[in-house]
Amino acid sequence: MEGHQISVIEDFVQAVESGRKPIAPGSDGVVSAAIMEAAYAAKGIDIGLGRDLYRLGVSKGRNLASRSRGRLAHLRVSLSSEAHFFKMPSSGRFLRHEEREPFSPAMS
Amino acid sequence: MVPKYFMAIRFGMMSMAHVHAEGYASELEKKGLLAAIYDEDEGRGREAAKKHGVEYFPDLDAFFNRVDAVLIASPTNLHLTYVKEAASRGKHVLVEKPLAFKRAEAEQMVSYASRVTFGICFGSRLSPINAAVKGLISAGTLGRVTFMRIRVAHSAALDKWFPPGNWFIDKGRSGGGGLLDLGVHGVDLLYWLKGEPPTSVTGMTSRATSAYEIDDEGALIMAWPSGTMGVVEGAWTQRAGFNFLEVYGDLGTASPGCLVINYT
Repeated sequence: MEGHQISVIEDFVQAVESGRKPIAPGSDGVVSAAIMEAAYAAKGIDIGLGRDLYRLGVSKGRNLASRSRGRLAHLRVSLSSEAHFFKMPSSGRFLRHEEREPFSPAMS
Repeated sequence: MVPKYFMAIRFGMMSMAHVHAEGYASELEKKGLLAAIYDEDEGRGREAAKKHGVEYFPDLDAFFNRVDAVLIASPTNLHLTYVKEAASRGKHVLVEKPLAFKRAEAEQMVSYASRVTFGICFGSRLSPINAAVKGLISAGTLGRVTFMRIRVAHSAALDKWFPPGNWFIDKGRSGGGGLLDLGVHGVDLLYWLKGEPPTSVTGMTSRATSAYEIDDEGALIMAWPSGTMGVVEGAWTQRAGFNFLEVYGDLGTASPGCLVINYT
């Protein structure tokens, strides 16, 4: 049992006992439902490049990747390294993930 | 007269279908609050009742006679029916997320439950670190919030957590896949942090793994009239990583574990 699920039950029990609303009242479910309904209804815009690449003389992605494998691999490593460090304002030094305060946003 | 706060609330589980149902039932049992179980799947309900030492009720009237409140952990498409059944009998209702896939259904549930305590299992709002970020926003410490981003993901599609026929991967019963299941946490959290609903939304989903006949990853963008934008990523296609929350204001940035204020 994760901590946030315990907290949800405890908050709800307190809400029932005190007559207040829970931290996440049912009425707020209207907002998340409306957002999700809209997001799923949205359509991406086909920009046509998948079909027109050859006609326009543009290389397909896989060909580009094949020719540039070395550079792409280097880029990936660089990005990966930077993404796992954070510059702290107090010291100005970079911290690795492992050095940061553990955080679980309580979601699953 | 017994003080109100000493009166134990008797909870009933309505369905054990959700992956979180067992955890909720165990916690309610541990607190001495679990009184009964109802389940649309009788075999599953009887098994859970036996495990938790309470009675299984195949009949809803008998079930509701035993409880003061219900925790609904059913497939999402049954939420509306169960909320109506419980609230119409004056039972308090706690529902697993997402409340609904359609706004109209959510509004109906709110209407049915107007006279009882009605909550959703959005545990992210109860995370101390998220509450701290909300405090920074409310206090104006970050200034005017310009952009927010959150990722909520795990590997349910990569590792095929859901067997064929499971309701999570049936759009008719779940309403959506990875974006809905996990992204709804992010959607609710950003709405809660901002303190008002966005007014414009767009999004995209995909089946990146083809593990299921339902989306396994997606992203959406929300916009508020103030100009603030929020990006939510929800996916079953990411084996590891951090469920980042980032809030950017014109005076500072808050990201749990990496708080930066007045830093340029």
